[in-house]
Amino acid sequence: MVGLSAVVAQTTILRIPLFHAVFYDLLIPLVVFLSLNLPDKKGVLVVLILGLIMDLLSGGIFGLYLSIYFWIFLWVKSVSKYFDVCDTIFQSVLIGVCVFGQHIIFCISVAAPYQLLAAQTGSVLLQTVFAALTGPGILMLLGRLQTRFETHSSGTEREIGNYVIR
Amino acid sequence: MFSKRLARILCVILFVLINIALLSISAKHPHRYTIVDRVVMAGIVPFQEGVTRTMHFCESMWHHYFYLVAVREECDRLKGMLAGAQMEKSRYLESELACQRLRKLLEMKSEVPHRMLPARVVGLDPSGWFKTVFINKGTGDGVSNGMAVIASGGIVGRVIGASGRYAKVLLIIDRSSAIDALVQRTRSRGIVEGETSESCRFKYIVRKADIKIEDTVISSGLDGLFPKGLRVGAISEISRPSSGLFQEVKVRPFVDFTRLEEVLVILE
Repeated sequence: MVGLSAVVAQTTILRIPLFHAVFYDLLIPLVVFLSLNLPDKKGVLVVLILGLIMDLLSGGIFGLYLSIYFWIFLWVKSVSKYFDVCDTIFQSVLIGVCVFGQHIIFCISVAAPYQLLAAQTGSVLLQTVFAALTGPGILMLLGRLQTRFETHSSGTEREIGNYVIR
Repeated sequence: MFSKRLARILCVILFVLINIALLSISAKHPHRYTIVDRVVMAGIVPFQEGVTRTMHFCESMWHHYFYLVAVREECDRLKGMLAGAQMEKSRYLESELACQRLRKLLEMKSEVPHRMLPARVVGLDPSGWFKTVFINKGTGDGVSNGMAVIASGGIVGRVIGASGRYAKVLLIIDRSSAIDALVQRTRSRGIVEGETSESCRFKYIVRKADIKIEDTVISSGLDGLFPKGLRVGAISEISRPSSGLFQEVKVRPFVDFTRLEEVLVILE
């Protein structure tokens, strides 16, 4: 649900000129979160579905988003073994690097000429910095959502269990 | 000699006569201002004034303070009405602007001799590197891959994917877009390719071709996608490198892609 909301927001509100230069791909923090918190199989499945949706909506080469999200998922998974994933600075750098990396891959995929590079550079840097600043906050928010969801689910299960016992 | 009763009657008659006589005298000299009048006035009017002022004060208190509750209500009501009127004004303005845009589209529709379908832009590409938009007409409305999409300014792009109710349109400013085009004035042919959000490259224009800044570029119709004669843009930059066969030309599209709201899909 969170992923789909982010996809819809990115293709409507966040594409208007006011937000366009600042807002980065909001699915990147989500992929990072999934990589840090979900089991491998489940996480990969969700990431691939999100990548597929984005590829269908994008005008780029099919499979670009799918590949980017998949590699981000794997990379974050491996990096998290060596660093403290709860550290805000680590999270900030991680998301900043992911956003910057995504832009580099896009740039290569469109074989961007000098003019396009010049036009996009400011926006790419701004988005990277903004991602590094807001990314940890989004991760924290997603963590809280997950906790609330799990609490709610376990409470419902308990209620169902009591009902069955009675 | 006289009875008591007769004397009383005579007295009454006398008083009546005296009264009439005094009234007659008074009637002959109206508005006489006597000292009695002054004394009475000096004695009574200050009280009258005091009472009147108190009444005015009370009335003023009522109107300016206690009555303010009603005024506040009135103010709130008027503010609500004003907000409603402003909303309505905004709606009318939006309708007027939409009307202007649709009128331009209609003019365009009458100029182009093809069957066209109006559509609304409902979504944009999630990345800034690719230039596509989504429109609210799909295969159910007769839209299919490769169909040309235009707006009041000129060519917008072509359909690259369609579902039942929606279609994806590749804009002419996308790097992977190309249109066979020619300069309207001199008929010099080339290919318009997407470059940045503001400009396109006009490739394969030979060095000897006579082209000028602000020359209009139109579709040639030879690519089998866009009908001939549709406006693409105006030449914005020309450079002739010392070597090579071709000139380097940039074209500024006529369509403002940042404000794209309604488009026409050419169905034939």
